[in-house]
Amino acid sequence: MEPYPRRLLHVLVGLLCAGALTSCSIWDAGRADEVPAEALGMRPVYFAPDSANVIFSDAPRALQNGTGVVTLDDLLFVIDQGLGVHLFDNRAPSQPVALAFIHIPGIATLTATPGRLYANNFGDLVTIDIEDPRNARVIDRDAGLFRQPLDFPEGFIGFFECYDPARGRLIRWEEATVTRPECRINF
Amino acid sequence: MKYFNTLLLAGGLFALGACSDDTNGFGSTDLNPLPAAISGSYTRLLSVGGFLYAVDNTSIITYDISNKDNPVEVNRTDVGLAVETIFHLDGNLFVGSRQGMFTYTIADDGHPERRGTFDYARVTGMVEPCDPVVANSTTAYATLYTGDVADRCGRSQTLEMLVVMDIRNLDAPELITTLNVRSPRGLSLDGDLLFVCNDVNGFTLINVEDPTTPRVITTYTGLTAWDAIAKDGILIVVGTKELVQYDYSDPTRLIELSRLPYSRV
Repeated sequence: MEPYPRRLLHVLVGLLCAGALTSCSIWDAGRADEVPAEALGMRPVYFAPDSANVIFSDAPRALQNGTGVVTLDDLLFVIDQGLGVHLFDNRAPSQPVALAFIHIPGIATLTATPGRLYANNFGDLVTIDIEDPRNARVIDRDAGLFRQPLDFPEGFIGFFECYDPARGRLIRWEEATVTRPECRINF
Repeated sequence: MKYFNTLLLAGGLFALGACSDDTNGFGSTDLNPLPAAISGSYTRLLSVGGFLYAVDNTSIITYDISNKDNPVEVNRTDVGLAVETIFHLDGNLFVGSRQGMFTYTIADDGHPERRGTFDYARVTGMVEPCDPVVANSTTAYATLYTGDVADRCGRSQTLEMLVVMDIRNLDAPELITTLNVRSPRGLSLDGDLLFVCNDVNGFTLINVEDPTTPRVITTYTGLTAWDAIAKDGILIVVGTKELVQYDYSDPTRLIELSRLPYSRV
């Protein structure tokens, strides 16, 4: 597999470090003898390229990584980071009724007006008709809302699995035991 | 339906008072009589009146949504570095970044106009924390949290702080006080009650009747709390794997109303 374009990473880390006025170096990937067999580090979480823009309603499901909450009248939205939004009818807070899960790849934030949900789908702002939450429909898409996540784990120091664009869109970085990590950020 | 009744009533009152000037005010209630979304403090996207306000890492982006099916970008305003959250109150926007809190007023054309800044370096030194912010008309509250990070000298340090700021003058927010709070995350304010999420350590309920001396009422554990909305006596808490709601009519004794572990995987 083609390794991550290391020159770009050097540049990015260099910029990062120049901005922080600290001295940084990045590990030289060419020296295979220094790649550990295994390390506690970070790895990219991918979204398959062919499904990155596919938004649709699905049956209610378990929360994977809840990071946000929005209410609109009796509707309750719970953001599942990077995956989608859980919709509830919260007329009775003692008994919220799960209405649907809307897949919105790359989601980090949302807001709503009656009948409409506005959210980020990776870097795009998408307008979604939720008059019927069980049949959500994308009605508009505007590019350029958010920049994409950096292709290295920002703020992290240590070994990480190199990001490989061929494997899909980058959702986020997660801690993991990585095997033969060829990328590393040093301070 | 109740909103339409209110709208009709309001319309009737304006019609009776022929001299009422109801065209200049920008408040969200003026332009948006429909129910408005309430967002947790970590949000990057807000709908206010006929506009959407989004923050990316460096700027506020304004979209006109007078046609709700076709947002149109109308403004992009530079804020600073590492912007993370946005909060709205009465036509003012509070932007949280790792550097500080930035205050804006929404102008008549919907564009945000810069008012003031509170630089977190005043209370944190050089460490750059994460930083959601909430506010009422006089006081803003931000949680600053870094986890365990190395500072520029390589020393490990953790910052876990609630910062209380006087925002009566939006052009020059001032420090009121700080309070140590364990692993603070999102927060929500309702009157004199401030709810601060503590991640795996639950959440803390703080009495802020006197902002100079915030008083911890109690801490609730047994849940993971990342962000919350407190309104009309109901607290909605979202954690990594769960959604928990409480009745806080009696702030000294919260009643758990529901807990969704989303058991159906």
